[in-house]
Amino acid sequence: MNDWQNQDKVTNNLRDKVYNHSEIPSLALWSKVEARLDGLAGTKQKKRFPWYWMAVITVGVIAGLWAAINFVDGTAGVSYKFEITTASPKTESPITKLTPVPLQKLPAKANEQILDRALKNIKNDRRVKNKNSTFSAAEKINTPVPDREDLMIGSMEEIEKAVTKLATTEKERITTELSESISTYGLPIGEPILINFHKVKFPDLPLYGNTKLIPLPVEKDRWVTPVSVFSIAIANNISYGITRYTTGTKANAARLDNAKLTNEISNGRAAPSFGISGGLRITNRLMLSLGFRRTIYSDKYTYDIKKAAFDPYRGADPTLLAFNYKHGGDSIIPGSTYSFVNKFYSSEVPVIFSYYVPMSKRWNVVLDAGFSFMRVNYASAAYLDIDRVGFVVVQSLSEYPGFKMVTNLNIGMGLSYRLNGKFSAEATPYFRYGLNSMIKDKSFTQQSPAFFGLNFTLRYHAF
Amino acid sequence: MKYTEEEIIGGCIRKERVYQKALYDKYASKMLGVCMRYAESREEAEDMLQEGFIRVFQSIVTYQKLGSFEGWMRRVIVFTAINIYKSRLRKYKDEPMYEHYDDAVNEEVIDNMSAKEIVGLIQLLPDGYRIIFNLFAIEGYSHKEIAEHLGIAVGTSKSQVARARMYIQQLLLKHNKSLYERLAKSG
Repeated sequence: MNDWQNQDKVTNNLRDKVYNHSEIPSLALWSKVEARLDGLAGTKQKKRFPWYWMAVITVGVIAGLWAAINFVDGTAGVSYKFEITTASPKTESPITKLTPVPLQKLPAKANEQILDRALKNIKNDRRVKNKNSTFSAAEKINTPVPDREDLMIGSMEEIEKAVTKLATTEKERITTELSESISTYGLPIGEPILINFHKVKFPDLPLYGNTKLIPLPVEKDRWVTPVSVFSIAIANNISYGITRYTTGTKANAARLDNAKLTNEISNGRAAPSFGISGGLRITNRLMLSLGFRRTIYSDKYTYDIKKAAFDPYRGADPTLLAFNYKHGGDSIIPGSTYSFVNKFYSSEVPVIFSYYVPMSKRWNVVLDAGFSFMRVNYASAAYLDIDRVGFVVVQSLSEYPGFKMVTNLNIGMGLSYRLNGKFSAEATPYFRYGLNSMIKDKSFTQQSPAFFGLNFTLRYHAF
Repeated sequence: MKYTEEEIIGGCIRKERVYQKALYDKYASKMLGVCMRYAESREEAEDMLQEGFIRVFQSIVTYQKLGSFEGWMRRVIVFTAINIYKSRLRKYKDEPMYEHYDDAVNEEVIDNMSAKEIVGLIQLLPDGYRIIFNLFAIEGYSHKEIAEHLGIAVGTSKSQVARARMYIQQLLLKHNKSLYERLAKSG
């Protein structure tokens, strides 16, 4: 018994009186309705410029760059990683080739256009033309995505029944496969209304993915594409550098300034980085990503001038060492403790292909391969007086050793975990191999960097 | 020309105007009666009705034939009306609470009132009271359903209904008073 059936007599009387109350509408009303219907039939849905997504991407890129410049402090780091993501059902059935119509919270007006598109797709499909009989679901496809209010239509008992059944027997399927489309609707996972709608409307078809306007039959392959059409990833990365000396010896290299610089960048040093990338799905499992990452390598030497006649670390007099970094009137103050800080900033553009091998509904193995183009574009050194009585000088050394672009080969293999319909997280160990030296001037020791690293990536599946 | 309900529904799914008109002719009066209870004025009710019919024509393809078509349609119209008020409902204002409630007096008053007059009284309710009172007391939705759909707490729905009843009682008392005055004058 419903709550209202227990209500007081007065309210019941009131209800009895007004429930079937009717009033004659004005004569002009039908004309208005008719005009609206004509308008709907004649209006084509305009393609809108994706301002929203452009804004999101712009904000993401700016945030990434800002973070790369400001967050990575003196300990070094490289950021990169470009991956791919999403989810749409993979199928071997003829419908696979149809253009999926993204499930959106569409205004009611758009339903007609969507249906037309869907039906046109079906008609244009060669196999459909030849084999209409395989499309027993054609009528069902001709069903618009309802608004939430429309989904409410129908017996609540039916809804509850269906939900109860699903919740007990197919809970797992509901919460995974439906999560994307449900989130697209802005409905919570497990939303009974949506589930019920699909159960009633498409009893023979699975509750599936993000292309619900054209419900796709479940293929034998149980995997679902783990990558969205477009995704944005932010990645933190830590890498350990191994320098290869292509000319000269390691000992020689150590005595050359440029070698020192590059050595600090690439050899025996762990550096974190930060990056952002956009991924475009090429096939169900393959994604191409393009992005930007910024790494700051930093090292610091501290020594006490009282104890050393010369720089114990570098084998040079600290006064001489500081020569390049001090102003004319500055001097080294005996008895002070000094530190020398080098920072190197590299920018890198990775172009990576990622292939996803689904392991379960949420887990995927990720295979990465591609190139990245890296250049140390800025270096600075500071000679710091820790006692704060001396001087601090920063000087750009970017042109001194003459850095040039390094083309790196990147390969990696890791795991991706789908957090929900919109986000996935990845951890990918990788190897990055420099194909050429980072030193421009051939008279210096040529060094090619190589890195072992680990990427941690959070990917947002935009659409 | 008379069409069966099935023919009308089929024609509307095919978007044939003659059937759409037939559907309108058949249900417009009744649905306007529904809209009148949710609106503040007749003009507003007609706007709701117009919007509601557009929604009906657009979503008729989703009609499941699980219940009566009229019930389905009423539901579409009601939710269309609610959507129009949803933004207003977020700004609930507590109206004065009247504690006294005299069923005997109210029953008598209601008996003497026409449906149109009662609808007029309901229209005088503040937005929040009116919508929730209509959904609960007239349409028969449970507090849980109302709360889910409007995105409010079940307790809020309950209190709104209780307050709406008090409010109506006050309106009925006023109406009763004027009724007695009218009777006294005529007698």
